Amino acid sequence: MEKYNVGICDDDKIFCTVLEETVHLAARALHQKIETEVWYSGESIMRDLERIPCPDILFLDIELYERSGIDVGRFIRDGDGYMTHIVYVSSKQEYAMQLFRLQPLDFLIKPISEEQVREVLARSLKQRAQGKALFEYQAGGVFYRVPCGEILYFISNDKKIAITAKEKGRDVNCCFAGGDTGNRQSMERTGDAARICSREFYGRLKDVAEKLPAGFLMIHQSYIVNSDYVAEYTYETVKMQDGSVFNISKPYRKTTRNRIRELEKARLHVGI
Amino acid sequence: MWGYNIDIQGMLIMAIALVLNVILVKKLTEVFAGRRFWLAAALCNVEAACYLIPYFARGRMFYVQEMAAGSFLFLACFFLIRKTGMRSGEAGGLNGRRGAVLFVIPVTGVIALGAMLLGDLEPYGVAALISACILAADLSVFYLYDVLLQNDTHVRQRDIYRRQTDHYRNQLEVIEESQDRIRALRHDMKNHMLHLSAELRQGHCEDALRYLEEMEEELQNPAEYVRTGNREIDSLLNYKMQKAKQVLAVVESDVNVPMELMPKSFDINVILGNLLDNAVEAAQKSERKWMKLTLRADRGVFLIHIANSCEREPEKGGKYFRSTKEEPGEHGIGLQNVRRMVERQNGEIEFACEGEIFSVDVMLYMNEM
Repeated sequence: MEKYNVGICDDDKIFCTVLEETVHLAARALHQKIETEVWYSGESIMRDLERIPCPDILFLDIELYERSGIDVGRFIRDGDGYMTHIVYVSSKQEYAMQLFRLQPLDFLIKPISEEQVREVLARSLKQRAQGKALFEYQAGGVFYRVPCGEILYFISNDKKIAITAKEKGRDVNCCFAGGDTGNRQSMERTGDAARICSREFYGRLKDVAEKLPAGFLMIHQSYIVNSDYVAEYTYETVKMQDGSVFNISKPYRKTTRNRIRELEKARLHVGI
Repeated sequence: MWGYNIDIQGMLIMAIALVLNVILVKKLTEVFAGRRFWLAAALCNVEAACYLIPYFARGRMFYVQEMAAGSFLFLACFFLIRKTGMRSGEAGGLNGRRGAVLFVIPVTGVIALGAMLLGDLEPYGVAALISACILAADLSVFYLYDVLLQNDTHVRQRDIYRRQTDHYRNQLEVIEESQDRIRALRHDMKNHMLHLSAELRQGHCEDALRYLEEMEEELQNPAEYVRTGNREIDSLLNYKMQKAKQVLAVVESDVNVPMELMPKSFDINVILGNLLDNAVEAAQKSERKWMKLTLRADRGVFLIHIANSCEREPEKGGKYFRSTKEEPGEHGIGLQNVRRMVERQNGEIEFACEGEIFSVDVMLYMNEM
């Protein structure tokens, strides 16, 4: 079983130690092997993340001394860490809108119980597992497989479907296990760490939709978007984290709304 | 079939009139969507009166010209009604009794007109006059309806203002209490520190820790349940939660909303307030007396989840859950209105019941709030 990387960043050293122990306890209860790393300042984690990959899940204090939790969050999102689950930790319940824009997995208020950690870790693991499912397609006689968690959206144009996915800068093969360097691709660099690439294949979008896991939304007869990469929903539009905006066409609005509610509800941990 | 010749010209006029009428009635139904039966009766009346006035005015001869004249009279009435009815589309409406009184006028009108047609009325001038009077009465009903509705909206709005003032006052008290506690602690800080350092110097770590815990407890204001920094939501929730705590055994809350979220309308206050009232009321009757509120803002979407223990499964009246309250007058603005408010903002609401847990989910788009 793969090790899950858990990061903790807080300027309160005692809190870090306690949380680290709690995380280990929670992981044991979930039968999950983990590795933890602790940072005591925003600067140190930002410096380190230039070299090493982002953790899978990061417990991040909001009120760090110099560089705040918001700075760190933004740094992670702009860089390699688009997949990192950020869990904001604070002793206050007052959250700024900026925090919400960084798509945190959750907010926890100190003191944090083992149960809370276990719940959030379980949710993170579940989402990560769902993202690992592979989407297969065929283009030019070659089979390609993309982890669903890296797909942003599909756009169909006539009989062609363009698939847009994130690609990790350091290990390109991770994205398109096929290593095709053919001419049917356009690349757009958005930074050193992550880039967005797009490829085309022939097919019907309806068939694609059937093969995708639950996190994907068909919002138009020519668009499917991955809800994990949505920045903002409105009734008529979906804005993606990469800045593109899609219209939800009229016949799809009600069903999309319903799906969004289900997805967002699943993100809540509604315990009874 | 009527015993006279119908010329092409007449047919044409009639066809036009018919098409016009159908369109007009359809248009009005859109505007008065909430009160379909009342509208049907009133319109039937207006239409009948419109045709009967020229009919009686010219004696008993039923000519195409009368039909046309009636139709155009109706058209004129339509524009009059349309002018008053513009506001009615979104209104939740009048309560039962006033609605019923309003209903009486068009219904009596229909009866009166029918009686005139069947009875042998001479001279026709009087009949035409009666028809005209009924038409005038009906038109004023539309006007009255509009005024009543306006009045109703004002009353409701004032009620919301009043409630909000209550919430704000409570919030002010909560904040003052919190500050008093901080002030008191700061005042005694020197003593606390002396005590703590003495304990620690003697190596009584456990005692020092316990003392710290006590200090923390002292600092906590039991009336401050939520503290999101969002004025609207804090004041509403602290007020409602305080009330809920008084009558329920367990009240849980899990609230993550941004400070800057400023709902433009009262709607969120009304929606949240009503749903909480309902939940508290139902939980109060149950054995467990439990309620949980979850609020989330994520990706432009605002989610409300309220769950409560309930005594028995609420009956379903058609599509909706029927109220379990005995007094029909005590329903507040009710779930129907909450549903309408949610839908007006393009949101979605769903009720569910599993065993003895009743829950409601609401989703709203933050850009429409």
